[in-house]
Amino acid sequence: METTDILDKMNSILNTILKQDTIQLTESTTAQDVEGWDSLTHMVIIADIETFFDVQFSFREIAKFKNVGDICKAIQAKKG
Amino acid sequence: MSFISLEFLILFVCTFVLYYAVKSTYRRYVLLFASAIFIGLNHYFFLMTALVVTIGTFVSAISINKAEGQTKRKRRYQLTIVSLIAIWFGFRYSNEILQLVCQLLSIDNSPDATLFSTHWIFPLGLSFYTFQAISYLTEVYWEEEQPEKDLSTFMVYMLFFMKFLAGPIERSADLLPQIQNKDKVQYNNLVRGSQMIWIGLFKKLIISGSICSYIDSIYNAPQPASGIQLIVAGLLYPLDLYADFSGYTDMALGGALMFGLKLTPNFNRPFGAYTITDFWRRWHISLSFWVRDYIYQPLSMSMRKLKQNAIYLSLIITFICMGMWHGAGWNFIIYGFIQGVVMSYEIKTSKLRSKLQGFLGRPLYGTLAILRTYLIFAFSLIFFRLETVSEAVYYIRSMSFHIDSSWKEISIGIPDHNLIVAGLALLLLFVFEYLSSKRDLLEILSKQRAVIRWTIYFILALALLSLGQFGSDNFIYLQF
Repeated sequence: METTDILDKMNSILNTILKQDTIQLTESTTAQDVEGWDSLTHMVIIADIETFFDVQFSFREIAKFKNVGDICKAIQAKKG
Repeated sequence: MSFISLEFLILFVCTFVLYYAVKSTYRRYVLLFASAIFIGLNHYFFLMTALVVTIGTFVSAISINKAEGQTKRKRRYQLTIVSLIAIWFGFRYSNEILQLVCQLLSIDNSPDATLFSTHWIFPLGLSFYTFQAISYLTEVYWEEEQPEKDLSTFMVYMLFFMKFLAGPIERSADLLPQIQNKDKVQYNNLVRGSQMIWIGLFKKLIISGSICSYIDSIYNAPQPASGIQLIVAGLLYPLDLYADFSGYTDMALGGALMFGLKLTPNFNRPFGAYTITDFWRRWHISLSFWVRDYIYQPLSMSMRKLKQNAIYLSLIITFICMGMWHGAGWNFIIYGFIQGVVMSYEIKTSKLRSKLQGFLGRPLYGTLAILRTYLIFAFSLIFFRLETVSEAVYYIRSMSFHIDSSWKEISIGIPDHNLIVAGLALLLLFVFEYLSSKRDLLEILSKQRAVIRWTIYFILALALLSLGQFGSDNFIYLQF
C-alpha cells in the first residue's frame, strides 16, 4: 500500500472525527499540528484507523508513534 | 520540617554552601545527605519507608532489565508494581483496614484498647515518590529507559528534599540526567531560583496567609456559619489552595534551581481555563500528566473498540483514581468522579460550545467559560476539603444567600486589612502571571541595571516582611 493512499484515508478519518474539512496530513505531521488531536481524541482516531485498514496495534506501538509517518510505516509493515 | 522554618533555612544554606564547595562528582552525595536529614528530622519512620521503597525500586528495575524473556520481565514488573501499590494502599487505608479487622474479629478498637488503637501515620511524601517509582519502573519495563546504575543518583531522584514533601512528581528521564550533570554553578540559576522562592513566599504568606485561617474556620465548623458564609468560603477556597500549593511548588522549583536542577512546573494559570478539561492541563500538571500517561492512556487504549465511550469511561476511572490518590474516603472518589463526568460532558458538547462562542463573541464567552470552570472546581473542592460525604452534603445543602444578622458576615471574619492585602496581591499575581505568559518578566528584571534590580528586590523583601503572615507555615498538600 502506498503512503499517499494511507495519507488520503487518514485525512478523511481525521476530518470526520474532528469535524473539520481542511486537515491535510503529511508524514511529518504530529498531533500538535492538528487542532483537536489531543490525548482525549487520540484513541478514537487510532481505533478508526485500525478498523479501516484492518490492522491491530499494540499499546507500545501506539505509544511510540511520534508522527503520521510512523503510523503509515506501521500499517505498511502489517499489511506486508 | 516546613519550608518556612528556621531549621529548613539552616539546612538549605548549609547544603547550598557544601554543594558548591565540594567537587562536582560529590555533589549528589551532599543532596542525598541533606535529603536524609530533612526526611529523618520529620520522622525516622518516614526515612525508613522512603529508603525501603527507593532501594526496592532501584533493585527491581535492574532485575526487570536483566530478566530473560518477556514473561519473566512482565512478572517481575507486575510484582514490584503490586508491592508498591500495596505499600501505598496499606498506609493510606491503614486505619480503615484496622477498623474493618476489628469489626470482623469483634475486637475493641476504642482509644484505650491497646493492640489496635494505634492511629497509623501516613508517611510524608509517600504518594509522590511512589508515583515516581511506578513511572520509572514502567519506562524501564517498556524499554523506553535504561535502569539507573548508580544508587546514589537514583536516591536523589526519589528523595531530593526540595520536592520530597509534595512534588512535583518528576519523570526519571527529566531529572536523572540533571543529577549526573557536572556543570559549574550558573549565576542565572541562582538569581532565578531566588526570584521563584520569593514568588512562592508571596503566594503562601501574603495571599494564602491572609485568608486561609478564616476559610478553615468555616470549613472546620460549618454548622454555626450562615448560608452566605458557606458560599463565600467555598468560592475563596480554590484561591487559597492555589496560593498555598503553587506557592509551595514555586519554592520547590526555585530551591531546586539553585542546585542547578530544573523541576517540572506544576501550574500554568489554571484559573484562565475555559473548560475543566483545559483546567487539568494547567493544575497540578505533574499529577494530571502522570495519570494521563499511566492510567488514562493504557485504559482508553484497551477499551478503544468502544470508541467515544472508551474516552468517557477511561476519564471517569482515571479521575476517580486521581481522587483516591488524595486520600481514603468516598469524598475523594466523588471529587475525582465530578472531574471525570464534567470532562466527558465537555467532550460531548464541544461543538455546542464552539457555536456558543461564535454567537456570544470571544470576550463574553471567555469570561463566562472561565467563571463556569471556576465554579465547578470550587464546588468539587467541597468534597476535597471536607472529611466525609455527609459533611460535604450538609455543607452544600446549607449554602444559600441567607444572612443571619448583617451583611458584614459576608467577609467570613477576614479583617478589612487582610481582605485588601489578599485582594490586591491576587490581582497583582494574576496580572504578573498573564504578562509572564507573554514575555519572561523575571528575565527582563534580571537584565535591569543593578540599582533598579536591587531597589525592586528591597521593596519586595520589605513587602513580604511587613505583609506576610509568618504563622501560616503548614502547606495543604503535605497531607497527601
